[in-house]
Amino acid sequence: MRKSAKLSIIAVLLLSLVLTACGKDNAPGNENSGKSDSIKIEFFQQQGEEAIQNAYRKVIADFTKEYPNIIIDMNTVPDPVKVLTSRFATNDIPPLFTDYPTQLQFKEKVKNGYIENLSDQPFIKNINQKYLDMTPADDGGYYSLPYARNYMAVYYNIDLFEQNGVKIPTTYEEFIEVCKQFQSKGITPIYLPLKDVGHTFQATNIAFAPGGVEEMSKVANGEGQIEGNQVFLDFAKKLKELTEYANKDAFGVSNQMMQEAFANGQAAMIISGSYGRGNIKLANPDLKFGAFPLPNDTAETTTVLSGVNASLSISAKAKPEEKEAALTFLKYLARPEVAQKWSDVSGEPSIINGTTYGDEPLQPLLDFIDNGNVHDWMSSKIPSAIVTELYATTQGYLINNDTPEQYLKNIDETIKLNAVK
Amino acid sequence: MISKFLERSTYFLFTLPAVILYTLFFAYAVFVGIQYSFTDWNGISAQYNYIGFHNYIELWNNPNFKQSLIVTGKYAGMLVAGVMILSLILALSLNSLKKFQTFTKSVYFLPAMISAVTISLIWDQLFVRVIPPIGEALNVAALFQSPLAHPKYALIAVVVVNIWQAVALPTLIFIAGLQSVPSELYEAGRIDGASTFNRFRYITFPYLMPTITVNMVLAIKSGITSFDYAYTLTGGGPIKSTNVIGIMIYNDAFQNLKFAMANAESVILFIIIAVLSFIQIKISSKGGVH
Amino acid sequence: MNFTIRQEGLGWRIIRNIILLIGIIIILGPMYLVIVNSFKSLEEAGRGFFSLPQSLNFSNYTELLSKGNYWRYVWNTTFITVGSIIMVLLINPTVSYAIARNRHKKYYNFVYVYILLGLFVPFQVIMLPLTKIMTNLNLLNPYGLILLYGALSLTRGVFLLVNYIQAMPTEIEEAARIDGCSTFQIYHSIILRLTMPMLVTLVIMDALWFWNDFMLPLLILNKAKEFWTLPLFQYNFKTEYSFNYTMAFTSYLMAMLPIIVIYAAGQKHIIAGLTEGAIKG
Repeated sequence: MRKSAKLSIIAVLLLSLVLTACGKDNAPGNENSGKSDSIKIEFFQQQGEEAIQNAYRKVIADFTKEYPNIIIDMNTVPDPVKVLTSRFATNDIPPLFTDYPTQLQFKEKVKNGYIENLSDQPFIKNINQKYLDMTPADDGGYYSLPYARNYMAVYYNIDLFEQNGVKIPTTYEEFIEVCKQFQSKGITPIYLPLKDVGHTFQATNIAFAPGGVEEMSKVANGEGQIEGNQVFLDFAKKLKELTEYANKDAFGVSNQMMQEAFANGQAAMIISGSYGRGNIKLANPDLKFGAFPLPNDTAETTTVLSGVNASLSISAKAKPEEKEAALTFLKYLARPEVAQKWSDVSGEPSIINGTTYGDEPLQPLLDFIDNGNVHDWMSSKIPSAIVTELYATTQGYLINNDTPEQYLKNIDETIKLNAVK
Repeated sequence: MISKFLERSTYFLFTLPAVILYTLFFAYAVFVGIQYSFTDWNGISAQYNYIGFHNYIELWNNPNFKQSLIVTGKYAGMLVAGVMILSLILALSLNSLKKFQTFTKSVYFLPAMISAVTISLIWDQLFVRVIPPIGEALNVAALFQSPLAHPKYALIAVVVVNIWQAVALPTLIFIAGLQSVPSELYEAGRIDGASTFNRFRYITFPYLMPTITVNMVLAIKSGITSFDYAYTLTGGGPIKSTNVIGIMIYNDAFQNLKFAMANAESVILFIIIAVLSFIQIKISSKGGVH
Repeated sequence: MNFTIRQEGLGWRIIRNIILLIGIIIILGPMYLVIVNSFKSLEEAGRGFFSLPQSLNFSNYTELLSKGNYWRYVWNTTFITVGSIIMVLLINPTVSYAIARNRHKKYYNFVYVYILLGLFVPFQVIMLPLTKIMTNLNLLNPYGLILLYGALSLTRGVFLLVNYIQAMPTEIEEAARIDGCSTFQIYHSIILRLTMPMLVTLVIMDALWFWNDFMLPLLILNKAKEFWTLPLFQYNFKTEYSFNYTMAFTSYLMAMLPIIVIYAAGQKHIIAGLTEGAIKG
């Protein structure tokens, strides 16, 4: 009998392991069984930057004071885009999450009925119209609360500009002039992160080739070509010209290293996303820097890349009480005073009406965005798979020192190859 | 009664937990994965269709996939060569070391303790902060930038980092293999006046054959399925020069809305590994002492 | 193995020592840089990347400990590693023993081939289906991960153990059987003891895998930070504090520290264990 006793112990051990695993589900969102009046929902938040996490944490703490029975459990993971995709793929959608509503991926999720329609919510009217217009899904409905905007612009070191008597350029010619001035003084004019060439490519393409994204979108649909397009040729030449004024080790430099170098005063300018601001401030709180649009030939043709930052959406597959709780939170977030607080802590420009931006040197850029030409990120028009492939194509152009003509040919090829047939 | 029944079926019961767990969490997953490769599922849509071998045909015509296979082949080749040669040299060196053997061994095994991600992040910093100053000091243009920045050197740099860690375990296995060579044989070889190289060639080598096979199979597999190092160090760039299949699969599955295609890619990878391992085992079973 | 040493010429010894010395520098050099820079502020590291820190400044460490839930991640990683190792020990030797002694029977040979085929499957094939299965079973938590590791450990475990057990002489077992021992008693009191060297090897290899794994924890434990393991914590640092590379070095060091401490304490046994298993395998 001893042997069978031992054997059954092993069996029981194994079984109990399985059972505890199945029975004791520690996942947030399922812990509310005990207290019927309180509910805990997971908030899958994609932006890992410290400042943004802090801002959400503060706002959530305030929210809990007002609604003590709703617990918002913010969850931020490494590699969030892919984790979120895997959670959609496995039908394990977080009840409340941030996502990018202008991207085709998001629209695909809406099409499949995963996301709650928010069109009738009163807070939709509180959103800056310019950005709200970027977000409708294919059916014209609004499926997310856009909360902040982002942009790509030139950040400049105010002290370096003042010490050298340099003025903010408003045309491309002036911009190159500024670069030359700094170069002659032994200051790196512009620090480029060509290891992460992606956002530099997007910013320069939208700045130097107005309408270029639409052209590429056509190619993706099997019409037309980029080869021989004069606007693109100009863009390609300008992009290459910029690298002549860049740091020597540009191809090994990542976005973060660029921010670090700029924060330490190693360069006069960088082409940065608004998301870089927080890091620069943390790396060097004393640095004075402002922003201006990356200029095209004339001020009138200058276009700024600006889009909606991660926006908040509710899963259509969530339980009714979870949806209710998530909606309560969204309504709370959309209050101007809450949005203001969030913006102040995160340093991200809010797009809830009635808020003002706290960072004065950056205000001129926001004014330009409000009144001038703005274009959304490429992946709103072109599948993101193609956009990321174009990054590699652009990297090839710059590293291999191809001719602009060859580069345009390669763009065509890349798009055609990766277009959905 | 019960105890008799248990006695007769002990062996069978012994296999049960493993078979059940393996079937549920491994075999079934493989089956589902292969099944997806015949669909057009993008990863998030609620519906999908079966489209036969369409994904495979498309991959056959996809230059990116071919390029990725070539990169993976180069990666695996360099990794296998580097790991095998270095670990053999290190094993021979360590094994004949008289003083400080324990200390030296533990230093050499240290990299095996650290995760691939940590190692990659550390080397990423080192490449950027150590190489350019050296390049400027020596005035060698190729070293002005991190090697990861250069399409020609990036793959080599990634493989070097991978080797840095991957050498440890095979070295130990080789040392174990060396210790299995009967010492009488060396004695005899010496009396016969065989040179150091000949002693290695005719005595050590045959005895090492089984360990070489084990190390080779493991190295080939880790080379072909490699992902962590390239993903953390370069993300596949610059200009896709380090875009190994592992990265392509990962991006297609989770980023490019081509989930079914990604599964077809990994099925092809599976076939390649199986064929290579089979050939490897066939070849090595012809020689050596078992 | 002294005989080899006596035979080696002076030339070989010099070359060998130079090789080993270079290797040690290549291995310890990066470690040195990580350690010294983890004690520096960004500004100090900018002035001298290679130099020793001016003072033992623990501010990076205290900041890191105050921000992340470090000890929680250490506990999680330990829990998952130990739990998974128990799984490995429960299911690997039993099935391997059953297979090794019954290879002539169809069922057992099938089980052997069935499990070995897994050696050739790249992880990418099962990545997503696995996540899906775990979701459906409501197992996206550390317990689920432990079960998974148990299942995934089988391919390598069976590969190594079956060969090992087959190579063992069966005389003792037969004698024990004549004395009236049951199969389970034989397994328990003889086989487990005799396979110990290989089991130790296996446990060390698997423990390193579980401890350092990134992808599976990312897919299975992404529901809440409370579940995170050290690799997730450390990778997350990359986004959260990326600009601050001395801080990043601190986080690498802290992620490595527990396993390095264990290694330092038991390196003799770890290396001996690994070598012994491999000799007889």
